[in-house]
Amino acid sequence: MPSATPDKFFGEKDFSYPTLIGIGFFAMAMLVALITAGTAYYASQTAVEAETDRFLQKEQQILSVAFNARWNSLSPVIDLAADEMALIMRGRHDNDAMEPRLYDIFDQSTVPVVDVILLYDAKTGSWRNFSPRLENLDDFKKRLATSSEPGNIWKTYVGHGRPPLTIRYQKAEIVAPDTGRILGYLIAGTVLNGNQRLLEELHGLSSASSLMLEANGTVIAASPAAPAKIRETSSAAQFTLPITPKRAPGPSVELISRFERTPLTNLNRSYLRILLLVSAVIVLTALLISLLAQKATRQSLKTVLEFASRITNEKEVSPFPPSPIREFNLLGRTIESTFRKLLQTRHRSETILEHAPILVFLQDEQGGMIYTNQVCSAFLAAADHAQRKKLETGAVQALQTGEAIETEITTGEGDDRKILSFLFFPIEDKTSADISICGIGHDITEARLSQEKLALSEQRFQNFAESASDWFWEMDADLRFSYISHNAEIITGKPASFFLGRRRDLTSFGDKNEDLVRTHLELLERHEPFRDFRYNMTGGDGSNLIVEISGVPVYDETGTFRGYRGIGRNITREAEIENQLRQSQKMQAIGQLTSGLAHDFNNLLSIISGNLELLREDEHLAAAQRRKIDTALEATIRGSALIQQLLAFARKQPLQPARVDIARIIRDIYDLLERSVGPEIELRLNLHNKWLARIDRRQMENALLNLVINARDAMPEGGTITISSEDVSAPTGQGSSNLPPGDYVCIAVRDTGQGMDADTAARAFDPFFTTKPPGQGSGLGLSMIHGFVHQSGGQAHIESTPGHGTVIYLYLPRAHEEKEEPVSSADVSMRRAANDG
Amino acid sequence: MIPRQHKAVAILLAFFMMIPGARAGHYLNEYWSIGDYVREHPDQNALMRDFGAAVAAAAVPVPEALRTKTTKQPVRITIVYPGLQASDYWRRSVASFRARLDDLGIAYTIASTFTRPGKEISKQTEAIAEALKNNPDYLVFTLDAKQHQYLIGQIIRQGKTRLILQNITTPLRALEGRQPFLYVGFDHASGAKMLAQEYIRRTGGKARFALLYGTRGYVSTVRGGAFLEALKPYPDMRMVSAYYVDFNREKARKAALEIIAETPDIDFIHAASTDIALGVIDALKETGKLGKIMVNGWGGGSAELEALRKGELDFTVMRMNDDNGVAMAEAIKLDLLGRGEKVPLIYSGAFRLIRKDTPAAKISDYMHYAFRYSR
Repeated sequence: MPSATPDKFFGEKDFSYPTLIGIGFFAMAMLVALITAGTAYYASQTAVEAETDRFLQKEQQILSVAFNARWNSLSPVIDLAADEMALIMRGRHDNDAMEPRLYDIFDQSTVPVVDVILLYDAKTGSWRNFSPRLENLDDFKKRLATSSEPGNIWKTYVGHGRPPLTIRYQKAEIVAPDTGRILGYLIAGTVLNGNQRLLEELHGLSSASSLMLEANGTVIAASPAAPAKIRETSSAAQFTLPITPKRAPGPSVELISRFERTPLTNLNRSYLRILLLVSAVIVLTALLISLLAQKATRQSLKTVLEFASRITNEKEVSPFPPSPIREFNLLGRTIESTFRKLLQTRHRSETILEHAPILVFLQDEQGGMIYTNQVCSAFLAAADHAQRKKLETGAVQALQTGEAIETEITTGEGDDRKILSFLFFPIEDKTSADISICGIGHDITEARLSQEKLALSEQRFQNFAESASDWFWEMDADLRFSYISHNAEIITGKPASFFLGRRRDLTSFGDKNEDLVRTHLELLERHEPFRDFRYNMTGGDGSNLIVEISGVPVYDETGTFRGYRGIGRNITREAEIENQLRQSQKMQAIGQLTSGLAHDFNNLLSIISGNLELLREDEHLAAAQRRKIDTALEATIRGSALIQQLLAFARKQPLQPARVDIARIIRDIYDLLERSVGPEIELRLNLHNKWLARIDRRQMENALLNLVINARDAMPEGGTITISSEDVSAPTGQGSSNLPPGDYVCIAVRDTGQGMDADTAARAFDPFFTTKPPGQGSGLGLSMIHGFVHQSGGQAHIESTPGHGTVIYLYLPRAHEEKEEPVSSADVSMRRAANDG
Repeated sequence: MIPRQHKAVAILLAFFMMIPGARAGHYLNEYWSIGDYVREHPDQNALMRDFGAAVAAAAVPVPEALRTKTTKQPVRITIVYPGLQASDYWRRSVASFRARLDDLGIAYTIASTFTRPGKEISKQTEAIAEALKNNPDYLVFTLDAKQHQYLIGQIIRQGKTRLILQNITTPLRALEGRQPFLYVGFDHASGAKMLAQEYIRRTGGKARFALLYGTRGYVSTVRGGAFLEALKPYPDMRMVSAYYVDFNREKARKAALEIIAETPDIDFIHAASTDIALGVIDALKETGKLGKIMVNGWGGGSAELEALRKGELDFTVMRMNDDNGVAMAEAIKLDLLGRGEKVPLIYSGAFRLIRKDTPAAKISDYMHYAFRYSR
């Protein structure tokens, strides 16, 4: 256990807590008392000063209001007088009535006394003076005459003398009530010079010690107590009330008032005494409280310490004895409650450990056992040396590394074999720094067996999946591939990463039949099983694959859909064989039908032509009759040629096979072929065959001519026709079909025309099928070639893509004799007439 | 597009307002004249110049953030106007104010109340007090009488609502230190002086005339006072009579009839408003004195322009009307952008003197600028 470091400030001093509390209380009380006294003293001083200032300001306001009120109270009187004068002037009343009326209105008892009354008649431009005491007002009148102010506002006139004559007056317009005409002006006012009555009135309403009126800086009236010049001092405040508008141009008249300040010394002294007394009371009270607190705290602290010391050594928790301080009671009860809960927790933990089906032990750093539960005790009792050693090693490793260590111990053999898994980890006591090792073991025999079985099962499945020719797959509930066997990559050429995580609708549907795909996806959305769903897909190398898949929905134990599981197969080869078989059967059936019909028609034509020839030999026939018989005979000849073509398709025509060099045949008729295609089309040869073929040379020439003319017709805008030949050994094969094993000479006629779609190409060899307009082809050209090649033991295939031209392949069986048989070349130009397909 | 010459005129006017010589006489006892105010507050020079240029220029919309902000919470404006007069100044003022706010991209709501001028001061006061209950951001009203001074002081002290005093360009001296946000209008004194100069020019400084005031109050004080002040250097310009006709056409007609009856050889009758001028014209027509006794208009609104066109009115001073609405909108814009200190205390719109022989094209040019938003 590390030793506690002494505090840097206090060192190893050991203060008494109650004493500290007592001193603290006292110090705090002193501080509060001092702050209270100081604040109160300062506040009282400030409050008194502020109150004084406020009082003086209020006084000044009162003075201002009183001064203005005096004048404003006169305004309606002057307006009334102006209205009266308007009546007199408008009604042409006797002008002598003006004076008594004006004296009546301006009662001399008003303050201020109106002692200036002038009237200006706008019509005559004359003045009348009703102020007998003031004779010389010419300057005043001149000022009024030049004034352009029409408003009824109090103004102040300041003359030129020293002191200047100063008159406070109002100029009221005398307006005719009916027309609004300005008949003149009534000027009423008061001389401010020496106006003691006004100052006394104001003095009586305020606390000012003295008042004074100044005009342009010269005193024109002063109260009796006023000094010669009022000045601001520490014992007196001075206020100036402007009579003329503030900051206005012209002369200025001001009312100056002086207020004496109240001495504050006595007031302050009284305040100070009260404050000192209050502070002393606070200090004494605080001292008393701190002593009591010190005593109560010491006793309570002792109770708590004794209780804490006692309780740590007991197995049962005794109740906390009450103390006189609430906080200590709370602390004691908290300790009591904490210890009680601690004991309960320990008891519960021990009970659980004793009954748990796991092995638990705790040992100290030296390997001494501190605790083992019942199961562990039994195990240790039966353990052999090796098992004990393993336990010991695990514990030591955990102690050395400070990390959790796992180990397994196997006991018994055969069916009695048990595997125990142990976990060792160090536990550090933060308070004492002691380290102990805890070991926890449990039986994992069943789990281990299950793991082994599962691994075996998975390996088995893996082997099946990889050895099968099909592939296996799984999808989750969102129809995303969650598993696909390795075979899928081998078979389809697409890596597993292409499928995994992708939704079904985004993977490998290369089929153009959208209805088919949509129907299948709808089935998946309905979670229905499916079998042998066949569709086209594009393989990893770009080739078209035909695949067939089957799958079943998977549900968990709650019946919730979890996805699909199934298999897939590549059936491209089977599908192609099926297709070829179907085509072969079709052509065979058509051939048989055509052959029967052709023979019967041939017999009928023989009868018709024989009889026609007999008729023609009659010498009595008229020329017209003979021409008709000739026409009929020509028709039977054309019918006979048609029947030969049908027989050729039906592979029933008589052939004269011989060993021939295909390349030579092509070169021999090159000129004829070139003439047939015309100048817009380039005819190229690419002949590489070495082998000879066994065929009817004449039929071969016909077939080539037919193919070249067909290619020409497919390129109305011009293009290139390439005739190539090469030796081919099956099963290598070319085109979309496979040949029976053997050697062949392959002729390919390739054009750069418009090509044809898959349906048209599939029917191209059918008799009477043509894409030409009516009357331009019988549809027997290609079917005749097909019949000729098959009758010769070979095969004919067609490859065509819309927009990319057409290739016809003729596979002719190889003649193994080395020399070519001489066969006379027929006049193929004669046979060209038969070609129209 | 605002013609370049009008922009130049507006800027020149802003300078003119700063000229010390433009000081008013004693009739402005309780008010600052523009010249006196600018002399006392020289910082206003640059503010007036820049602000005048902004008013004359095309609108520059506010940034997108402010546009979005006002769209969510439109600026609340209340207007209390003495609007039921023949002069369409107030109607056009509101129209140009709205249009400029739209151009600036400021979303707003305007609640406007029109009351009769002059005698209905108490009604205006009631309307203003009612409007203030809705805590508008800006309150626009005209100072029709000094009685509003207490209310103005209250509004300014309250601090919630910015106050724009319209049709007054002479700040109250009593409000020094706590003036409203903006005084906007057409300086009555400037207009009155232009009219006086024209009469002096026409009469050679020798004439007999009568003066028809509106209602007793601020407007009459300033218009009439400035007019008489301008005539003071000409002692032969003699006023034979003066009347208060309450901005009332009929009263003006009767007063004019009385004047003509008493002094048939009078040279001109000075009218202090559109309604008064129309009343005088009525009387002149009745007495056959039209064309013999001169009469002026005041403001150059539609009614006056029509009278000029007919040859009934001799001349008038035309306010570039929409300057006022535009100035209020520009002031609000600056305030919303947090640049309220860039708004001068006073903005006075420009005047143009129009005579009945002024070419129609020139009048049209003036009108195009004056009513660029309110046509």
